[in-house]
Amino acid sequence: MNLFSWIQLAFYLLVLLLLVKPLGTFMAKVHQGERTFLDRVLGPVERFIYRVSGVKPEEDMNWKTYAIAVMLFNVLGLLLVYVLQRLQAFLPLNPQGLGAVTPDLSWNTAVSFVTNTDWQSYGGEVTMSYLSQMLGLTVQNFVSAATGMAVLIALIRGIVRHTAKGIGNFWVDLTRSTLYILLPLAAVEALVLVSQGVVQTLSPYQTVSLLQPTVDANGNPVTEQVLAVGPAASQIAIKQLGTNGGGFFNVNSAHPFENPTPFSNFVEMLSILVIPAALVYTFGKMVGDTRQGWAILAAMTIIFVAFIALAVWAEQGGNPAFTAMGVDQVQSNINPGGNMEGKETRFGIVNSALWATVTTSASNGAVNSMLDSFMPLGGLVPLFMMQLGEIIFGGVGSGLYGMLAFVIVAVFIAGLMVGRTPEYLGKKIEAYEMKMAALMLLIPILLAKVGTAIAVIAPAGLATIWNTGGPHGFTEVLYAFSSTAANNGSAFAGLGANNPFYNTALGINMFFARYWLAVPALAIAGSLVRKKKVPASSGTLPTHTPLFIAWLIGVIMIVGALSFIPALALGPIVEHLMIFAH
Amino acid sequence: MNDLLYIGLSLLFFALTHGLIVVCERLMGDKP
Repeated sequence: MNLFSWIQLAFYLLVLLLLVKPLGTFMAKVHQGERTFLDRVLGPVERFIYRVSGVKPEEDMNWKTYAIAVMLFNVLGLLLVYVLQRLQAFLPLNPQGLGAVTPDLSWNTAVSFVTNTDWQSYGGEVTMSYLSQMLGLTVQNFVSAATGMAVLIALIRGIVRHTAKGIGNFWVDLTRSTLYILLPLAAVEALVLVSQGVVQTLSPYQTVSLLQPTVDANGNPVTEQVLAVGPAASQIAIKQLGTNGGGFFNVNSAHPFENPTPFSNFVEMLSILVIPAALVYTFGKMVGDTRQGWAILAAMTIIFVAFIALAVWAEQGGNPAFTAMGVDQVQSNINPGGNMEGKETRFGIVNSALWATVTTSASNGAVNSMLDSFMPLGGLVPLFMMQLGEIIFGGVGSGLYGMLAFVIVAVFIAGLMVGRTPEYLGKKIEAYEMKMAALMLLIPILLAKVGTAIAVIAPAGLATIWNTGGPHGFTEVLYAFSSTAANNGSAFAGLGANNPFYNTALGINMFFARYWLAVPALAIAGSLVRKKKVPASSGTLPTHTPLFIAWLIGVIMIVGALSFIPALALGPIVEHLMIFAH
Repeated sequence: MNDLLYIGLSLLFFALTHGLIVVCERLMGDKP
């Protein structure tokens, strides 16, 4: 890595961290019902929404009512997106005349977008009509992120309030998250992306003449090309901001119409992590001690930086097989060097490896390079980031409530070690909270590993593993199930996933990974909210100190390593050893 | 036929999730 590589990484981190406090403060105000500068314009809209939908904003739900509201809203969204895709051939805004999406793919896509995963077993420009993209997928991009944020805020209220039953109103949290946070940020970002050349149109695909006509495989002259366009900018903005990741086009943010310039790349990368990172500060504000937020953010950032370094080092080191073929992989002023297979020259090594780490720390899953072409250790970074549970910043809302499960476990174990009842922010952590936290840690691990095991045994799973000559094919399957078990959505695209087996299996993964974590999170909120607040004493473990940060990192890494090192040893680790053995 | 299968699967999974909610509630001691 040269100096400019380090500067790019440092600049990205600096800008991200600078945005944490202002955005985090704003989001705290929104969720605490305090006045913001958007109230004058959006307040009447908010009240109108409550009036027409019959929502009583003053109603304070207990955790069970809140959880049922989350599920009802999501099941309706899932069915709507399913029906839209199945009927899209008969609906307007389909200038390319695309037919109905198959049932298994429709279901997989509906589950995917409703669960904030945005796993795509399809290429958008040849599968989805403009109406399906806008009314189905883009709407879910907003509300799935808002759902994650709502669950997080409910959990924070459970920590903050005491001897109470209510943890807020899901419909209010959903509305305020969408109206005051996601929509304004997405609108601004969409305009910035349009300024960079990201397409935003309802016109049909454009047929253009080739500058240099060619011939096809049969020798017939090819003089024209069809360029897929569409209302992409508006979808991409919320795709990144809401940690969704589902691209308008098949190659996602590697496509020049989705991500044309280094500046659009920087803006999109920043927008992937800005809300999850800022929500950690929001947490600190809402619990009345910003040191708590900074401590968790520090733990996240340390792990994040360590893995970026590994990814960049692995990719910049290049592929010895390419060297043997005479390919120059040495970095210079005119050569990015390293392993450029599957990467865009306008982004190079650093911005590809950085994006891969950002997108898999955030449960986003959008890609600006082909992860399947990464070096084994470079590909291990996004894989392991997801396997840690998408808690390094993580998804909007879901990242922090996942991280708080780790915090509960860390506090509990530390309490056992010193012989005191564990407590966190004034609330005793008891057996019930540990059971729920254990569910939140173990369910994604179970889904990833059991799914992978079934897929590499079942004939239907083996049939579309195209890389059969070594461990890479196994890694592709492990990646798919880890990605969906983490609601990430990125893929090692060498796996043929658009078939009933994978569409159904991965859909099951995404569903349970989302809702069987959200429910325990809300249950923890329901349990904590009824407890009394215990004043801190000399025996209380401080949870804002460097010691606790180190302890938390240790717990995260131990759980991740114990769970996945054996599987990683069968995939990327042995692949790395095989490549460098020659 | 496949549509019914996937819609049914969705409803089944949501029902199972509702079951999880009930189990969590019972573990909390809200119901006897």
